Amino acid sequence: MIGRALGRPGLKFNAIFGIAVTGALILLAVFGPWIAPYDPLKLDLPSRLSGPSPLHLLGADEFGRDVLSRLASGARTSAWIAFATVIFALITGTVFGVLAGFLRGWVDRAIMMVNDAFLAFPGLLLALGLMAVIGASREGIIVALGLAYMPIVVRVVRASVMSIREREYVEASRVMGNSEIIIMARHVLPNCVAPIIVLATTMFGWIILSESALSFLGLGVPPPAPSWGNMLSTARPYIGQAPHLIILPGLCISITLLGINMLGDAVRDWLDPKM
Amino acid sequence: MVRFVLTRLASAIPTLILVSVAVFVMMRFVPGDPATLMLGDLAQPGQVDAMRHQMGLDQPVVVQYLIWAGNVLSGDFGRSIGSGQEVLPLILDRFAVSSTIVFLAVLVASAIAVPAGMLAAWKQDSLRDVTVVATSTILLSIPSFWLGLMLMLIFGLYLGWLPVVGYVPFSRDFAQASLYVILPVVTLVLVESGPIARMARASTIEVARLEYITHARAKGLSKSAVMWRHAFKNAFAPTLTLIGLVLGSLLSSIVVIETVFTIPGLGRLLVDAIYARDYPVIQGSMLFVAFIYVVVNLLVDLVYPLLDPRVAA
Amino acid sequence: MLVPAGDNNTMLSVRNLSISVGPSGKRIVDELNFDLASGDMLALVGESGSGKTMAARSILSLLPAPLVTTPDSCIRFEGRELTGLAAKALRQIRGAQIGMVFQEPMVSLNPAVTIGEQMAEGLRLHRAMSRAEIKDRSLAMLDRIKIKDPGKCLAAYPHEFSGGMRQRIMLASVMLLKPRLLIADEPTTALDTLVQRDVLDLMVELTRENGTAVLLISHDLGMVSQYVNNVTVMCEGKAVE
Repeated sequence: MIGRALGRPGLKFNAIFGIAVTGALILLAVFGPWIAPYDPLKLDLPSRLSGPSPLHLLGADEFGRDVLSRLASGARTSAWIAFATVIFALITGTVFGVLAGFLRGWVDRAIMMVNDAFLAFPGLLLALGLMAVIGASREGIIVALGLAYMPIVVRVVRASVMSIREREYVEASRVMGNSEIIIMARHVLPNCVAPIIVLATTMFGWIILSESALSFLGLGVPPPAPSWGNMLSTARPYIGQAPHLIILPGLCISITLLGINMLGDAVRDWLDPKM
Repeated sequence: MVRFVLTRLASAIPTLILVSVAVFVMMRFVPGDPATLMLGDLAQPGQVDAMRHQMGLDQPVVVQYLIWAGNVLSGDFGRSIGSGQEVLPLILDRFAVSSTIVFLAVLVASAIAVPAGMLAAWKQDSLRDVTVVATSTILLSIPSFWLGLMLMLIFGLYLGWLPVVGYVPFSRDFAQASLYVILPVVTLVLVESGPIARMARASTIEVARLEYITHARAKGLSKSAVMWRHAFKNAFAPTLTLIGLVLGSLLSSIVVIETVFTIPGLGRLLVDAIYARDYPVIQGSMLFVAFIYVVVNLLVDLVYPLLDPRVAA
Repeated sequence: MLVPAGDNNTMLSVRNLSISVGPSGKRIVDELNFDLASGDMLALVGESGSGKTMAARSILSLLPAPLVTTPDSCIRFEGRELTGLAAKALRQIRGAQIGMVFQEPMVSLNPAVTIGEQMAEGLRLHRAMSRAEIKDRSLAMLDRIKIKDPGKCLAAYPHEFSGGMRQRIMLASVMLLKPRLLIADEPTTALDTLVQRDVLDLMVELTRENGTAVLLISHDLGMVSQYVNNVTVMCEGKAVE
């Protein structure tokens, strides 16, 4: 009974919640600066570490900067970095995945060899190492996380290319004398779209999480620019005096991730009814 | 069986070689000259050249790699630029701390999440199932470092039940050590239970759809007997593979958790080395963690046939 | 309008059996009627998708999730109504009184459980027997179906046998309980033609020895007619002949 009540419409609940949260994140990222009551970098030392008040709706941080404004600005940072990283990983991953899956032979072996070496590092660790090389900056995070998540895209794309290139209609197209490039563009790539969309949604969540973790470690978005991760990191010493500085950014990350995960589940149910 | 083990062992070797190449190449891209870094800003040009020669930096890159790889194989990971300590003993020392916490977390998380996922699958869409799925989705969405900070806030600061930060080795004072690891371990358990429960549920549902389950029911077995004797046993092997993957994500999470709770583990060592640009330590710890990850996945592959007789044949 | 129930000798009597997708969905089996006398053989023949497998499964209430029998369906086994029977009572009938053999021996034996375990399961559940007795019975049965080295077979896993062997083992494990009725759902479809005959011959022998009635589900009218005189042909959920 409860299953009927919650289970089936649960699918729709996933989608609604996911779209709402993701939509809110995008709106906040785009219009954040107009919503924010203050400049996120403006100091107000008398209000330092103060809790929610009419002056600062969500309180102020260790320099008296307005938390609400910083959270809004942080949403913009996180969304932008995650978006750019997903695009970066998707483009590079798709290029290598298609090359490996379609050309096969030594190209495939070479790409997969490097890919497997990348996959032998636990996710965040590779990004950490790359951050050490590139240095902490926004562009650095995009490249480091992009490279860290690229191997998964390569795998997924290669697998779908491999399965599609054996289908009859690809064979037929080849028999008709179409070049490999045309076959790839017309038949193979469009069929990889569904798995790529599913992966991209999931990856968006992973990257927001990884970016906030890197920033929390002090190896991500460099201060004073606010990101949810580095807000937690700088607030950590004040955990006893100003718990709102810890609670709020974490709540933002968690709700965002919950929304994206639910959206991811909904997208998967929608595109891949097997699961 | 012996052949299976040997082929699987052999297949890990190229991966490890590639991992070492990747780590080596990555460190070659670190901005700045390692010899200058080692000597500090006040070094004379002559000293730098001598240092470069001593470190083998004037050799061709391939030769440098081979020398380094040879040293690594003989257990010589170089010395830390910052402290001058040998890197490998330092890593092993710190790893003892991290592995204790990771091991406890995997153990507890699997003990809770695997049965939870399987029980949820038992009756799909029941209240129990919806609860497990919702809880695991929520847990999946909470970043480990925030969860750690929140637990610290509640159990350490408000309730005052547990120590907030630090670490005491189990060998020194077992009772104290246990108190200090509770919060980090609980944090990791909560974070990793989400994916484990989801995987256990999915593989059980998959198995429950199969024909031999209908056959078992046609014999007159009760639903619980069918689940225990037929479904869980078959769903366990795929879940085990996931625990290998979870260990990978734990090796990432531990870096963050050690920072939250100020635990002197391998993750903290790596992060500090990155701040200090102590590249022999960075190189060594990255290589070490990747090695552990490859070995664990190897072990999972080797244990798999014991649970699934088909693979062993 | 009800078709009158069969005479006293009738063991299984199916009336107005309809199966739909969900309580109000499309009907995949529509008002099916048949009778089976004890010790007799009846074949339900139809193309794949004609609903015959689901009709057979509904006898033991083993329909997969959205499928249900409609309320006016009537399945009477030895004078007892099976539709709507409580789960516990149903389990006492499954295996013990009505055995079932499935189409794919490759997937209907659990790959992770030994043959011995899977054979013993039914006996342990339905007959009060000691471990030793169960083992003796299983060994005798494996010997009866001419398996080489029955002792080794008990400890082996299903993947160590060919399809034909598995189906023989499957048949043996079901007949071990001497059920009153055997439902055989395309028991030979997945096998080679030569092996098919073997398995069917064995099935006929074993059921004759024990006086077990057989409901044989098949798509192969030619093959069925060599064994069974009494045939119901199904097409799109309806009996046509």
